[in-house]
Amino acid sequence: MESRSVEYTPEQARAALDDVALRRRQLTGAVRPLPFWPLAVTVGWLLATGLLRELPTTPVSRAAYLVVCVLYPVGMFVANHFRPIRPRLAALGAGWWVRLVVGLALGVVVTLYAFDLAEEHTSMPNLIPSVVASAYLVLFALVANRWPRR
Amino acid sequence: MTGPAPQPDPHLATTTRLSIVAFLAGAEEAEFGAVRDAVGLTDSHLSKQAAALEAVGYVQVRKGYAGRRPRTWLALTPAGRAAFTAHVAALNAIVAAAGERLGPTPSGTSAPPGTR
Repeated sequence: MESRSVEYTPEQARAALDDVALRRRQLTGAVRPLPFWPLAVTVGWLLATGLLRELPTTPVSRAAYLVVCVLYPVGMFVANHFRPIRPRLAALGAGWWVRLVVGLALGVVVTLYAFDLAEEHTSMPNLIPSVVASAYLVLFALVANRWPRR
Repeated sequence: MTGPAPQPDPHLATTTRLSIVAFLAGAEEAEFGAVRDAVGLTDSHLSKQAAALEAVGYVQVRKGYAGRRPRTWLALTPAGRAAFTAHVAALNAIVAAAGERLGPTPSGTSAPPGTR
């Protein structure tokens, strides 16, 4: 039965607060959604298909790009959910869900818009959407996925 | 700056327990091994500390299976979360009263607090 009062010196209190801050940083790192390589592969694939023009600008290619744009964020979320640490949304910063949903919607809109622009105004119907989708994914990683440290 | 100053929680007075609770405060729940690795404890030490925190109602221990492997999950209870918040407020008050400015520092070392 611990009913004793506790006394901290200011130094001890500060040290304890430092430890609390450390544990919080540990958690943020621990729930980092995905490693860097899926993003790198995705961006590489997008750029390669755009450069090589392997995908014609058809509904199929649009669907492919959209799937890629959606897969990464969704995969990130799913991977997060099954990790040994189930994060508390508040600890990841308010609005994590909002960022995910907005990010997905933005990815869809940006990619579709890029396709339309490329079709109408350029002779590179695949390259421009690839670059735009890649830029979007990198941005998404930076903002929502917390760019991997180390 | 008036009113009763928040008091440190005696159940969170040790560095180990505070570390465990601080880690769990950011999670809905965390698997035993994840907490052990994060806080740097042995299985038996964490088990003992978790049992102590569970006894005072700060931590909930859940046993389950991941596939066929038994797993233990730790989660902070609402009482534990409230106690942790109050404890951190008390620590902040102590530091503030000493005229220090709070700010995150890279070092994670901490000294055990004195008790009486």
